[in-house]
Formats: sequence, structure tokens, C-alpha cells
Amino acid sequence: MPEVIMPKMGDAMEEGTLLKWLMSEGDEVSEGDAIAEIETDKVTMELEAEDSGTLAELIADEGQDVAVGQPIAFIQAEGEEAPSRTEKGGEAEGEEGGGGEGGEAPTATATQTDAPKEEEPEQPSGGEQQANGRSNGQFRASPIVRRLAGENDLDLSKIEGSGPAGRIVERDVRAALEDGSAKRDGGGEEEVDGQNGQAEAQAQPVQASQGSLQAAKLPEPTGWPGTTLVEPTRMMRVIGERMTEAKQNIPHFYATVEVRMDNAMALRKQLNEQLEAEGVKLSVNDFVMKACAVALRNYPNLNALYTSKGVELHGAVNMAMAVALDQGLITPVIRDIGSKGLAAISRESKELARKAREGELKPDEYQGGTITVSNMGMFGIESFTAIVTPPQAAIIAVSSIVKRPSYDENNEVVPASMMKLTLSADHRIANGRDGALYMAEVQKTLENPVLLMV
Amino acid sequence: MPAENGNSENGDVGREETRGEGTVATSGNGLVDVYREMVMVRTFEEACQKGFRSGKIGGYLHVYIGEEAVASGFLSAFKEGDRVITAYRDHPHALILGAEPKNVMAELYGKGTGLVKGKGGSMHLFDVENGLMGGYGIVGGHIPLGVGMAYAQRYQGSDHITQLYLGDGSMSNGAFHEAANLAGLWGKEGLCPCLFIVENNQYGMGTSVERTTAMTDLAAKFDAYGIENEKVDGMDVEAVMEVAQRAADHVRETGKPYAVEALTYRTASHGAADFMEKYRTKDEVDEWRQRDPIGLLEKKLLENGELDEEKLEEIKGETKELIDDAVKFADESDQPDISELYTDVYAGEDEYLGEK
Amino acid sequence: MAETKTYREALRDAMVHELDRDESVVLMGEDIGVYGGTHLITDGLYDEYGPKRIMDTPISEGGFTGAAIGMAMLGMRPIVEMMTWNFSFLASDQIIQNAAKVRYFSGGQVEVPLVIRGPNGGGVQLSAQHTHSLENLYGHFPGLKVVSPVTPNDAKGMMLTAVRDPNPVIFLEAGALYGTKGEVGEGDNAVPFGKARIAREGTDVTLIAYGRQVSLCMRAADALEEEDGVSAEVIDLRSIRPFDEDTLVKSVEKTHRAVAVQEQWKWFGVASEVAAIIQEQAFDYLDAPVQRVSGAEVPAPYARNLELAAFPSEKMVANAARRTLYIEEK
Repeated sequence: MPEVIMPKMGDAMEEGTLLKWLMSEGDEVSEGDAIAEIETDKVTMELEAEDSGTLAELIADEGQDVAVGQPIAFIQAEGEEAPSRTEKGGEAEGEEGGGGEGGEAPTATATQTDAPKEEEPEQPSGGEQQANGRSNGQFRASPIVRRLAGENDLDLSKIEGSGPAGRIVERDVRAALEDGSAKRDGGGEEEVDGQNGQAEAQAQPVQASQGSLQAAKLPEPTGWPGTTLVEPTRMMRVIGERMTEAKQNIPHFYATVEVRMDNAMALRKQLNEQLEAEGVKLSVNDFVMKACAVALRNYPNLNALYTSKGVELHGAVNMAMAVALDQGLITPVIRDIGSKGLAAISRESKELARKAREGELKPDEYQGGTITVSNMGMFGIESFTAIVTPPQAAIIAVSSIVKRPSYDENNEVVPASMMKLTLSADHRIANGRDGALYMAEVQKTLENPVLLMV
Repeated sequence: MPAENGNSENGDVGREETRGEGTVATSGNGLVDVYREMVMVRTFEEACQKGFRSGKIGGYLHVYIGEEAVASGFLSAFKEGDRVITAYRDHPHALILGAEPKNVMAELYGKGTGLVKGKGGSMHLFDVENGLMGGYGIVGGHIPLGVGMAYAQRYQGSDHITQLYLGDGSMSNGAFHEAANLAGLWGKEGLCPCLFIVENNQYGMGTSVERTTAMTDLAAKFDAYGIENEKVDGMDVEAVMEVAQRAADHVRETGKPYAVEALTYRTASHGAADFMEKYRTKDEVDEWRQRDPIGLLEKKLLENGELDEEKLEEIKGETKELIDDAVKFADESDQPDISELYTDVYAGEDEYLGEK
Repeated sequence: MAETKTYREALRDAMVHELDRDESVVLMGEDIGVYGGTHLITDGLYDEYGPKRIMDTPISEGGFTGAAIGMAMLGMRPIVEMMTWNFSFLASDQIIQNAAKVRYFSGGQVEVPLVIRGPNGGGVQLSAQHTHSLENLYGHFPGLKVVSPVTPNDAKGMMLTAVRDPNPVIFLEAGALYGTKGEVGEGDNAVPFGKARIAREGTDVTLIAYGRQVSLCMRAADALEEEDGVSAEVIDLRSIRPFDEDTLVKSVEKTHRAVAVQEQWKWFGVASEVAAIIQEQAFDYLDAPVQRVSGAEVPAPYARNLELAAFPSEKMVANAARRTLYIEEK
């Protein structure tokens, strides 16, 4: 049965108002007859029938707004039956009643009052931490800063921002990474950039962490009066893990010699007098390092790295020298030390030590060592052994020079300056005999220091 | 020298299966066929009005009711290879040139089977294969294009012409004057075979010609650009056909533009949304309806015996069936695939440059 | 092989190359023929190719641009000269309403292989009506391609690409640089659209520009290096639509800072687009808000000092870079 619809009379017309019926149900209509008055947003007009027949049913009431395209009446041609009113009406009502958004509304009050507090990001709240870089508990930090902080596990509350309004900017984070401050407290696997990571950077991949603070195996702190709980610094942890791993995995053996240092001391004194004008002051350690390097010429398997594919023998000696820092140690490297003279070694070792203490070492200045010398002579140590730094084959521990009675060739007692050197070596790479012969060579070289000049 | 036909490789837009069985329009140039064509256009336009009122057709809708003799008459002089360009009252041009009513209706219904895949709607019918270079929605904006097309036809060495349809309203637009000036200029060298066809239906929307220009002789405006011109009774399809043939031949032969002002009348409203008709009286409309082009031709054909009542009913019945099928096809067709949103923005490798 | 040519010669070379290669190519515009072109870009071509291919038009931008669109729709490849882009407003209905959209609203039935070219931007005291940078205006419309080469080599290479592109190309020339020289590749050295050029490599801040402002950025980068030890990377966008987001984003991922430079007005410009793309795609790499350096929000003035003040300067660019580096402005 043809329906009379609310016609679309404008591009933007969505509904119209049925103002008045001009005909009644049951009236006969012909195409073109005005059957109702409708009103749009633009105009009032008569609605003409597009079909002929009997006006079977008036669906819309006068005054009602009807969407474009919706039926407002039916015209029944001869022999047709009227459709049931509910069919069409129900549909329309369903559309209007359904699709409401009421279901979610009632919770709004609760979320408005409670939610914000819960969602606030956790922030340290002490007064002293209200430094630059944040306001109202929010840090001002550039996106790259947040990214770097996340990657390096930094606590931004410990970094002072140098940007506008205290914004933490990239250079602030780079500085924090360099000096090792701003580490986030607490455990967890970490990765760092810059100097803090140098011990790690040198290491072979550390597998399952055997670190000193593995919570599962360790006792709880006693909490007794008089105790202080010190959390390890990041550097302590890294060193601890690496040394644990080295000591557990590397089959160490040791060889100690006692070296008479009188000739070396005399030569050192003589050279230092001559070199004073140039500002060079040779240290005992410079002699020891040079001697260790010279002696390696005949023992290449002690100047070697233990690698995944075998032992890599190195021609040039890259001498790592341990430098103690307040919170740990670092081993800058003098490259190809064998080819360098004492004065050059002296200058370089001093510069590297200074950089190490001031945190200025670059990765290529502390990576790539092939053997290490660790000197604790300045602390009055008579002898000690060191742990091999993987993947190197050996480390030489240098102790103090001690004056002792000694016999000369006439069996007369004479004072002698004696120093103990202890080799620690990786038995997977070298055997005891190699170690012993090598240490004897070092001894001979230091006792006849002219050999250092050859 | 490149081929002179439409340059798009994918210009057929997958409509092959829905067209090609020959239309009412292309079956001949006898007056009965012209009559049948005009009835088809009228019936189509009435179905459009109904589709618009029922909300099936969106946007703007401009029907050609009352003006059928103009398009029918001029397109009777169309030769294969010629080009047609017009404004937004473009349904008859598409239909008469051979587009299937169902594809045209599907376009208006916003369906993927539409003449331009549902991307243009009523105002942008294109059928490059059959010569229709488009309907355009900005008054006057298409006129320079038509002039350029005519230049291209001569530059490329063909004897094809461009039929450029424009309304009276567009002749106050700068684009018309600039394009007419160029056409006259290029025509001096025989390089602009452009046939301007002014569909003067007396009103630009609701503003009469008298109220838009002091020089109401629209054909004479072409004099200013050195373009020969004349007028024709746009309600008398026979007269239009005669002028069309003569003008088209002249343009084809000389490569010079020519203009014909066809006086006609839109008995329907400007747009389907334009129902107020404050700008004209019912009497005026009724007066023009007396000269309805279909009515005039029908009367003549009945009088000279080319048609009888029975044949008349047969034509109307067939036409109704054709258009009813078109509506059904449009209604039942699927909307364009949503992926079509991103196609045809650019030709060549990058069809689309944005984020999807 | 490359030889040194002016920007003007490079453009002419490209058009001659295409006129010779493809007979469907024609040139249209005001005074491009007998007169030789206001900027002498087309000098001599009229004698060589004749009036059917080198078409002097009346002063009628909407008319001849529209006609060119119609020609292109039938398979010709017109190159339309806007004597300056300032006149293109008269043709903007044709460019925007027809050229950009006709392929789409025809459902892919037509192509518009059209180039519209001419000098863009100011800098030579032409004052308000003759000083516009329209890359953002035309860059806004899907269906158009918009390029803005600054080196003579790109002027030639991108013109070759433009003529061969099956779409309408808005070719914005650095008018103030027509006389500048540079190495230009010989022969068919087409430069693709949508690929930015790294004009200078750097590590600390990325300066992004196109057209004439690229030269400005190069000078600013030199100043930054000399005065602050800052290493600036300079990106020449070359192509506004399509836009090379990758090069831009990769650079900012490296430098963490960006300055977008444009001659046009600040609001709703290309620099805003650059800033938006960076924050969308490289947010986590930024160390400072992206800076925009733009023209003053005034119609272009005439007096030399006012005009200079209305456009971005080397100093403005360098200082914007310094702001991103949190170092003192100079």
C-alpha cells in the first residue's frame, strides 16, 4: 500500500512538522490533492498526494515532528488492506527509545571523585625533592629525557633541569649518566650508558646473575641496633657480579715472584732528574707495566682473550691498569704499550688515571685491554692476588716495595728494596709453567732495567 | 601524437557488465525515437524527484524537466569522437549519449554500480567512453575546460568538436567571458571547434535573466568575442535539431566556435529542494507548460500519424519499465566498497598520499 | 656529467627537453612567447616551436588555466606559466575545483597531466599583492602535487618529473633565485617527488625548509657551527605534497631538535605541518619543542627594511636553533 511520507524539501532537511491534516481517514484522494500542511525549517506548504485511493490511515498527529522519509499516512488503493498501525509505529518508537546512552551515566559521579587520586603517578614527595624540573608533582622533562631515563633506569627526581622552568633536558641526563648519579634506587636488571657501565661493557655477557644480592639465597638483614644497611651502588653491583662470575668460572692459578727493585729505583731516580724539565715523573708502576709488556713477547698465551671460538692471541699489548675510585674501580687501557717508551707510558697513565677519577673516560679508553696490572703498592700491601678480568688471560698484582736485609755476592748483609708480583692466570689458556717462566722474565727485566730500553 | 580519446586506462570503471545493450536514445534519429528519448529523460527525472523526496538521493538534485528538447536536439548532431561537457543539470546528456539509466540512477543513489562509482553524484556524471567529459558543479567553472578540449581536438589533428552546454546564469561569470574570449581568439586560427549551447531556461536558480544583466540577448554576448551566434526555440525539438546539425557542421568544418542560445523553460523547480517558487508565478509556469517540448512533439506526431494512442501508451509503458528497473537496480545495488574512498585521487603510482 | 647553470636555464632546459620529447607538451601563459617571458624563462622558445605550442594568452588566468585542464583531460600535457603565483588566485577555482578533483569525481575516468609553474615568494620589494608563498594553500588539496625546488639541478630534474606526472603539479619556483647558479646534471636527470634532500648533515639540530629558505638555513647552520660549535642538519623538503615524512623523522630521531622555516605566515603553514609530523612520529626523541620561523603576520610591505623584517632571517633561524639547544640566543 503506498505510503505518504514526510518529503525531503531541502538539502539539509531532516524532519518536518505535520501542521494540519486537510483530509480525514476514509477520504478519497487523487494524485495531486493537498492532504496536509507541513512545515519545514524554511517554509509551510501543502503536501500533495502522489497516489490515488482512499486515505486509509493517518499515522502522524497534528503538531508532530516526523523524520524525512517516515510515513505519515497510507493511501489504500482499491482492494488493498490497511497495514497494522503498530508495525510502522513500533519501529519508529523503537528507534527513538533505543540507542540511549543512559546505561553508563550513573557511574560518572563516583569516578569523578575517586579516580583522579588513584591515577596520579607515583612521585617521591619529600620537600627536598621539590627541585627544579617539576611543579605540582609533575616533572618537566623533554620526551627524549623520559625515554633515556626509562632506558637507563634513572630517577628523574634526582636530576636538576637546566632548561626553561627547570625542564630536564637531554644534556642534564647525559651528565647524570656520566657521573653515575640519578640511578633509580632498588634492584632489577639494569643497563647503563657511560662510565658506570664500563666494567660491564668489557665483560663477556653475564648469564644468570650470580650477583651478591640475589634476594632468594641471602639472609634478611638483622636490623640489630648499631647496624646500617647500605645498598650497593650500581658500580658495586656490576663489579660484584662480574668478579663473582670470573672467580667462579675461571680456573685461576697463581705465581709469585719477589723482585729486587734497587736498580729500577736508581734508574727511575736518574731518569726523573733528567726528565724533570719536561714535567715527566716516572712511577714504579710505569716500570712494572713496561716490564710486564716486554716480558710478554715470549709468552703470547698470557696476552690473550678467551673467546667463544677459542683463545685469541694478541700481538700488541693493551695494558689495562686498575684505578681505584671511591665507589669501585676502573681499568683504562694503554694501547700497544710495548711500543711506547717510559716517558710516554707515564704521561698516558697519569692522564688516564685523572680521567678515570674525574669520570671523563670514553669507552674506547677503558675497553679492549688484553692483560691487566693492579697495583696496591701505595697502600703498603706486602702481597695480594687479583681476580682475572674476563676475557683476559692474566692479571698481575703489584705490591709495595719493602726494604729488607739481603745478601750480596760476598754474603754480606745489605739492604735491598723488594717487591712482590703475583700473577693470576686462566688455566684454560696457560699452564703453570708458562706463568712461572713469564714471571721470572718479568723479574729479570725489572732487576736489569736497561732491558726496558731495548 | 597521443590518442585523442579519454586518457584514463581504467576509465571504464567496471561497468561493462551493466551496459552496452543499446539504449532507447541511440536507436535512431527519427522523430519517434527523439520522442521516446525525451520521454525517457522525463520519466527518469521524475523518478529522481521521487527518490530525493524519499531520502534515497542525497545532496543536490537538479532535473531537466521542461528542457528536454535542448539536449535531445543538440545531441542528435553528436558524432562519435565528439566531446560533451556541461554543468550540473547533466542527467539527460549522460542518458542520451548512451549511459544506462540504471548506472545513472545508481550514481544518484550513491551506489558502487553508479556511473562514477558513487564518487560524484548527480552533479558529476562522466561517461568518457561515450563522449561525456563531465558534469560540473560550479557555475561557469567548466566553460574554460570545454574550450581547452576543443583546442586539444584540433591540436591533435582530429575533426571532432566539443559541445559545451552552459546555462544563462553562468554568462555573468568571469569564467564564461575568459573562456569565450579564448575560444574566439583560438578560433581565428581554426583551433577551437567549440559549439556553445546556452540552455537559457530564464532563471539562474531564482533570479531571472532580466534581473542579472542589462544585456538580455545572451547570444549577442558572443559577438564581443568574435563568435558567430543565433537563437533557437528550445521547446521545439525539430527546430533545435536543425540548428544543431548546421552549427555542428560549421564548427567541425572551420574549427571556429559557434554559439546557439536555446530559449527554454524549466517547468520543475531549480533543485528538488527549491519548492517555494517565489520568483515566478504559477501562471507563468502554466503558460510554459502549454509549450512543453514533449507535449508539442506528441501532438505533432499524433497529428501526422507517426504515433497513435496505442503506440504512445506502448512507449510510455516501456519507458516506465526501463526506469522502474533502473530504480530497482539502484536501490538493490551495494554501496561502494569502503576501499574506494582512497582510489582515484591521483593517477599513476600513488593513487592516494594520505594516511588510511 | 654536470655543468654550471642558472636556475632559469635549468628550467628552460627541462622544458625544452620535454617539448622535444613529447609533442603533446605545450606552454601557455602571459607574454611567454613573443616577449620571451617576464622572467625570460621561455625566452627563444616561441621562435623554435611556434605559436601552437608556445601559446601567448590574454591576461586571463582562470580562462587559460581552465582551458589547460581541458586540454590535459584529452591527453595533452600543458605547462602553464603563472607570471607570478600571486595571480593564481584568479585561477584557483580552476586549480582547486577542477584540476585537483576531476579525477576523483569522475570515478577515475580522466587524468589531468598538467604543470602550473611560476615564481613563488617574495624578497624583491614587490609589496603586498605580489608577495605570497602558496605552498600551504595548494598543498592542502588532495589531487594536487606541490613541489618547491631550490637548486638549479632540482629545478630541472623536478620539472622533468612534473611534466611526466599524470597529475596536476603545482611547481613553485624560487623566483628570487632565478639567476643563481649551480651544478646541473645533463640529459634526463629526473628528480622524483616525495623525496627530501639532506642539504647538510649534522647531529645537533635539524633545520627544515624548502625553496629560498633552504639557503637561509645553510647560512644559519654555518653560523651555528662557527659561533656555538653546533652541528646543524639542513633538510630541503623539495616536495610539499607528497611529503617525505621519513627523512624528516629519521633526522629528528638523530638530532632530537627541529626548527621549521618558511617564508609564509606562521599560522596554518607548512612549518606547522612539519611540527605536527615530528610530534606525532618522533615525540619520544624530542628534547625541545619544535620551533617555527615564519614571516611576520602582515601583508608584505614595500620598504626594504620592512620587507627584510617581515621575512625569516639567518639570525632568527640560528636563534630558534639555540632555543632548542637551551643555549643563549645571540
